[in-house]
Amino acid sequence: MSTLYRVWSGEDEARQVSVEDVGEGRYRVTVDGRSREVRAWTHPTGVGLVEGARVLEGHVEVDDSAVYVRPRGGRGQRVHCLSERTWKLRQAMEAAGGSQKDRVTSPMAGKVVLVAVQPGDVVTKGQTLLIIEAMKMENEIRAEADATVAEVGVAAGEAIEVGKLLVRFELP
Amino acid sequence: MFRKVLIANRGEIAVRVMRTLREMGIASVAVYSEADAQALHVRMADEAYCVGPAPSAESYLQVERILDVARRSGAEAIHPGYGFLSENADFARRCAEAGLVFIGPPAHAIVEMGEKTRARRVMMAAGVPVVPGTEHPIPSAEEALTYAESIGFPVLIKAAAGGGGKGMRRVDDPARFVEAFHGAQREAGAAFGNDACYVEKFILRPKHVEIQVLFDGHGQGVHLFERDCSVQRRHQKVIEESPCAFLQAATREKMGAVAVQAGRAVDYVGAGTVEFLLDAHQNFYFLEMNTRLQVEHPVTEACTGIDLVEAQLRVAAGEPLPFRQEELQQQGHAIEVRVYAEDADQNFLPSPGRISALHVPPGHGVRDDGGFYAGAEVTPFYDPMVAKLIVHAESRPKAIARLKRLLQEYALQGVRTNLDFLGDCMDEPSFVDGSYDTGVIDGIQERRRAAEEAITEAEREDALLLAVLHRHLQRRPESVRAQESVVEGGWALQSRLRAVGRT
Repeated sequence: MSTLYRVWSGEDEARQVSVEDVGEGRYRVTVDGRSREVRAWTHPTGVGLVEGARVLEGHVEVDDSAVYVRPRGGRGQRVHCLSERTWKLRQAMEAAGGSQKDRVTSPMAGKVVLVAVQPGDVVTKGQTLLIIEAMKMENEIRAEADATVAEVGVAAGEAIEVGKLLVRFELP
Repeated sequence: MFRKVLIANRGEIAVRVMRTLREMGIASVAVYSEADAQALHVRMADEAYCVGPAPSAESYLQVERILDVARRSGAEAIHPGYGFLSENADFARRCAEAGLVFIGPPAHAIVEMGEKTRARRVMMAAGVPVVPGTEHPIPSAEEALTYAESIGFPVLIKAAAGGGGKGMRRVDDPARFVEAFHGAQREAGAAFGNDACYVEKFILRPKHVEIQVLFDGHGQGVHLFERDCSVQRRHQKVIEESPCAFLQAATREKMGAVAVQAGRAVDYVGAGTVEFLLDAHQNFYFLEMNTRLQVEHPVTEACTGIDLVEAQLRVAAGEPLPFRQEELQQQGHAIEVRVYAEDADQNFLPSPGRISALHVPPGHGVRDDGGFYAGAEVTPFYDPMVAKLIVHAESRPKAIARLKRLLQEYALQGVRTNLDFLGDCMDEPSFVDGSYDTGVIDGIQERRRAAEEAITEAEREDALLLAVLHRHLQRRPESVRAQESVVEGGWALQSRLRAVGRT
């Protein structure tokens, strides 16, 4: 019995990966038609695996929208990993239209210190939209592109959570 | 010696102070905010008292409440740690009035050194070289701009009551000056309750070298050599080491003597740090004096063998310094790195969250000064520093190798960390040869981007394998679905609801 995933990092194409449980803690992982059989297990700080005699240790820092994994001795990488089903659902949604670029949401929990724009403002790329204070540091949120502000979701002094709508833009 | 000491701080420094207290047989009293009710420093203490809600202005900066806890608990002295009330002269004064010993310098020394422009005047009068800049805070941005233009860009805007990089802005372009000045004032006001700022000439490519000093109440003062703190991001130190590989013996001696002279000029008592900018020709300029224990004090402890917190306590209790200058030696090499909960790839954006697992690797010559445990929460209310890792070895190359090993092994789950970034710092050629200056982070970031692009297919596949097996082995379909639904922030979820509504 194998499980299908779609896995990608950065701007790469998503690759289909199948993971087959072959018993006794061993897994056959097939990527692009090539299979590797490994012994693998999770532990409190990540995942360990042995392929033949080669030991590969991965510290997993976060596993939320993507897995940030630090292979020991190698570079940390952010790897997106979706079940085949969810991936197909997302493909369908994207085909149905809608843009992710039409809004800025808060990347952190904190307090809004300053709101520099209001609905109707035309902003240019790099312009400061607002300032959020988190951990005693001011973090400027800047426009990623030229746009017109349609809605501002927060006010100065407000405490906010991750994902809170900050500014929504009018789509051209 | 004291029998009970209150620690007016949190996080790793509170924990570190309590360790020495326990070794000396002194009871420790913790104060904590509501957000820190289950923090490590509370667990470490003998007694703990809540002093208010999460924001530090309503808890750790509440002088009245902290003094009240000291009275109620019967503490005889207060250790302020760093940050918070550690350089607050009024607090030092209030302690004295309440019959409590403030473990730090006398209030007048804090005043003279704490206000940076005043410290500059005192140092100039004492013949200590300083960086060109205004001698007084400037209230208006326009006036400050006029001055900045007179000394020439780039300039540095600094908070008069500042420290830790808060309220500090480098400005290269006169057109951006006014905006930056207002930003600095706002940040200074929020962090220190005092928005006064001043302007200083920005010395290009300097090294940040500081001298640890220690004075007793009987007129004796020594320095405990230097620390090179040139690896900084957003004007906050990330890596500190001792000795400084670039400092010549003659300069070290001169700098040490000047630092002791600076302390004497304000009748200093206790542990303090005199910060200098060192240029490529071994010229150095007084930057400021920090009238408290520094975050990076462990590298000095490693090289001198002296417990600085114990020394602070002894001096505060009226004992004379137990050593003379000529008895002090620098042994081997020590490096400290600050592990932050932050994302180095997103301009060091803080990454708060619950630390679900933590593995601190042991080994010879390793010290871990942490403020968290597995299960503890890194909240957005305070500094995102999770721990300091300190290594000590007989030589600088061995210390670097040890630290690299440590960074590979150290693992923390639940928040993004700068561990990879710190590892890359250890590979930076100018760090390896010791020639780096305060601009080193830009070069490291550039190399990181290049290395990112040079990741081999084999490395990519290893990461992919680890990631997919991690997901697979969790075998919690429900939680995996919950994680997947938040992909791309709120948008995916909302779109899905819309799509469902339509059908």
